[in-house]
Amino acid sequence: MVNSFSILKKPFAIAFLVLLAAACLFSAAAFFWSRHELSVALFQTDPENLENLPDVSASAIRSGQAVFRKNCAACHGANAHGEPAIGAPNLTDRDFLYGDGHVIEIEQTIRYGIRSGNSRGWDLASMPAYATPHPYSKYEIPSLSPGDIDDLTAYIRRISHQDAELAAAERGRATYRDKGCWDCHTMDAGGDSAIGAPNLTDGIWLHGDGSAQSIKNSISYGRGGQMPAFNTQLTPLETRTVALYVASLSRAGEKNTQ
Amino acid sequence: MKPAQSPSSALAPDSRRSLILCAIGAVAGLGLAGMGLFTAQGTRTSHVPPEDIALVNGVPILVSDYETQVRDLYGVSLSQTSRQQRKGVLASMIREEIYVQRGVELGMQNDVIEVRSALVAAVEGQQTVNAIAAPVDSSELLAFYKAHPDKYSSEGTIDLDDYVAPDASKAQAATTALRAGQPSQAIIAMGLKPGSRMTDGSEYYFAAEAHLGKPLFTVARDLKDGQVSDPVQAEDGWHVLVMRRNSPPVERPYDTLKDKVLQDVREDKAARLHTAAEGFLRKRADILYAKGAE
Repeated sequence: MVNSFSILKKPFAIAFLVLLAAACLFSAAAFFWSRHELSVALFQTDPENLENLPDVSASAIRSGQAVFRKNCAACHGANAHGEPAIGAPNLTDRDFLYGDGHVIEIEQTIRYGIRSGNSRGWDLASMPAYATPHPYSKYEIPSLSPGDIDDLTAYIRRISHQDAELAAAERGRATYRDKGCWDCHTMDAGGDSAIGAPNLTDGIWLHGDGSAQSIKNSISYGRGGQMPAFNTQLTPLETRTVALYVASLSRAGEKNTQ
Repeated sequence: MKPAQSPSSALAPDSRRSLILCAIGAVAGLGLAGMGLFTAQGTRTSHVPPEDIALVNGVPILVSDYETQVRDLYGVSLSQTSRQQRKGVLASMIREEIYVQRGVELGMQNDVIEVRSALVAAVEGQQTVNAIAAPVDSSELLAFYKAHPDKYSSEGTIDLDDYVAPDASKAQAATTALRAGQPSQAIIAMGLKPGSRMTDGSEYYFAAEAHLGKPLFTVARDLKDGQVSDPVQAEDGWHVLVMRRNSPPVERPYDTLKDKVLQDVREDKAARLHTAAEGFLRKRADILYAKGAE
């Protein structure tokens, strides 16, 4: 019977195994050291100034892309263009539902989510369902009539530069003012990123395609998209890198539109 | 002949060195253990991980939370604030952590109602977090949509004319006239008044039911466009309804409410998780009831 350890009796084999083990150890150490160095660089630099460290920034964005593919692409799409059917926003434009697109704001949204159940997540308001007896779950507000909803739809179509009957849009403007839509979307309908109320004038649609039917659906049945909190699934380093990746996408989008 | 050596002096220099090193190690170990036991400093980590800005009794304060706090407070990014401002933010975060830890030490969760409510909400929230984080595939969404058709119907709308007669005979005459195609003026001329219950035109079913009252709404809901109802008695007289347009609820297409279905699936999962978690926690808890309290 051949002894399976007989190979160890050959000096060159032992040397080979020792070298292999050393190479593995060295590679692992190099990997962890590079992660540590990346961590130190990323967390000791203001994320808004990372452009001044192009190597670190590029390395972080590469790592962030891998994290994005694994955790975010299922909803936002592999190209991050979003999925209006489930209210997952396009991340490549400069239209931010929450915050102004700063890396730290994106990072906090990833960490704590939107209507995620985490008390640190975004959950200040949601779109009421005005064609229901109790439009809003947090407090009582009156429903709207079908005519009001049609008029509001026409108004929103007009201010987003689409066709709609002028008289209906004028009535809709009055409804917008009198029924308190401005309370969240602001008087100029430009939205409020502090509470996640979208801009209604820019032609960028979080839900649907901006058609009369999809706008009417939003007003009638409400919206309240959710995003999971990733604070227990992603490490702080992964969260920061994916935030940097998302910020880089929107900045690239901005450059393309300029 | 050499004199006999004592056992200690018989030790080789190497062995003596080992013993000395062992003794030093033991003394250092005892010293560290003592420090850890009596000062709570022995368990202290001297190294702060890069993702943390500070550790308070081993509890990390994340750089990310610190930067967010700075931005929330001053509206600018970290590098645009002064050292004084940054120190102030960090001091307040450390203070909060120290006070939270002290609160736990003092057992505030047993005494302070706000802490108890916050803890209950936080535990429920954590179950929701788990439900929302769980992946949902499109077949699960579609199955949920199909299983709950009532949830995903549009709200029906009604637009009608309502005439009120003082007695049954006038109401019956008006019904006959309306069915013969007489105009509204002719019905008013017969002594009926326009009803005041639904005056804003088209209304959703729930609003129409609230305005008309259940008996009238039940009649109205079954009328087809252009149909005239039989007289219906109510506390303010006899009503005759003429249906202008009745749009009953219809099933809303799945593609237009995928986001709503997704939300409902998650809420359903969260509700089931709440129930299961409560059952588990009750089962695990050692609850002793006083006599007669069960």
